[in-house]
Amino acid sequence: MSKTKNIKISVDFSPTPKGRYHPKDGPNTGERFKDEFIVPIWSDYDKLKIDLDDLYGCPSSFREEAFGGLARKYGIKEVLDKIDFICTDEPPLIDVIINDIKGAND
Amino acid sequence: MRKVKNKTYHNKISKKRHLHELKRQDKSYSELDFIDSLNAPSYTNNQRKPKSKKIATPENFSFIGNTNESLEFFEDVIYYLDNVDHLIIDMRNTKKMTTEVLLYLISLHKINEKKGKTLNTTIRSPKEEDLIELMLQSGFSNYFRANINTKIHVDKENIFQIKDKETNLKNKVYDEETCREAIEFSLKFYKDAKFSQPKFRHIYNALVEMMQNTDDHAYDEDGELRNWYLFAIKLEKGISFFFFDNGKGVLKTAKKNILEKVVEKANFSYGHESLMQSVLNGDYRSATGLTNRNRGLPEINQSLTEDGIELPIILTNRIYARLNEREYRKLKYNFRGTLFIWILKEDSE
Repeated sequence: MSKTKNIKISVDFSPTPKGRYHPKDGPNTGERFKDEFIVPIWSDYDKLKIDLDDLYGCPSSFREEAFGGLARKYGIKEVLDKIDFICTDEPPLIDVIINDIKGAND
Repeated sequence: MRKVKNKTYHNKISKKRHLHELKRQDKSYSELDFIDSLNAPSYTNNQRKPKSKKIATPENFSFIGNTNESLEFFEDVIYYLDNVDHLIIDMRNTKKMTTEVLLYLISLHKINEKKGKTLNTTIRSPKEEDLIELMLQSGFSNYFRANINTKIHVDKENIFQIKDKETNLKNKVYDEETCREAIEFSLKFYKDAKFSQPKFRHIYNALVEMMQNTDDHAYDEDGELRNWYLFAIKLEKGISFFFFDNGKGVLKTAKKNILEKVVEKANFSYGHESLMQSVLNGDYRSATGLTNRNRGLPEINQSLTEDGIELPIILTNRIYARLNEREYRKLKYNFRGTLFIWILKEDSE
């Protein structure tokens, strides 16, 4: 049976994500989310369900470093296979993030 | 004889009244002046006389409604800030004014303060009551030390007072907190609205990227004058946002091809319209040289052209861009920094 971990960014991390690098860009950056919330559990789970609801926003600098950064670390295919996104507040955001992941190495 | 004597007497009285009137007028103006008097240099009799200059603001003082004349005025301000001891900015003949010029004025004042100059600036308020109200309510007056009208009641329901990066740093407030506050301010005007709805998310994302751009690109590595200013106000139908950073400007920080570099060196503004369009489209323009870093301005452009947002405008360097119309107008004078203005429409979703 596959092991799945649910992560709701607004609750587990912050409802106000912002910026790329930690600590230069603040406390709620993409780099911090990736390094403190995803990387340590990456190999412990087969699937990660990342919930993007109840956020004030999900700006490009945060998105690219968090999810594009994961793709640079683990590869585009592995990231797309492992992560499922949930976003009922703004469904098109999921495709935007998938594009960020696919374009991570450009 | 008697008649002549009366006339002389009449003239004398009339002159006295006139002088008295002027004195009263001066008194009433001084009550509304925004004076940075603590910076005033002290002079003794044997020192040189301080150089003073008075510059009048345009009748229509606005980058939106009267761009070139307002920029020309600021060119003068910038020149005199470096060349006089006392600068009087006379707004008494201004009949119309929009908030973004106040942000620009604050920014120049702060830059000047940081240079450690002992310049005394006095701002003579406009006569129009609504303009004085705007100067007080917007928080503009808070940036001038000796303003005596600080005990006013601020209409916080309808006004999101000017916030800036430097004050946030001083008060240990993170930028994202200011973005969140701006969204909370907007939410009050929409029934059953939730902060995570797309239109509010777009505003949040745009604000975050504007702030991020200021940090990443708006200054040289050793630049100390990093600052942005944010202001919002409720209009009859919608909320108007103003964001200004006093950095180098979008066109100066964009990555350029060889031809564009040559043109820039020759100090031509030729091709700035297409350069601006290219930056907003997200073409290969990131100063880092990586396309995955080239997201900020395209995201701002996209967020501000979504449904529910009206009249998005960017002023930067020599370009005035109306984003919805994809209209790029060349400016006569350089706009130092980047200004974003837009309106979040009421019940637009």
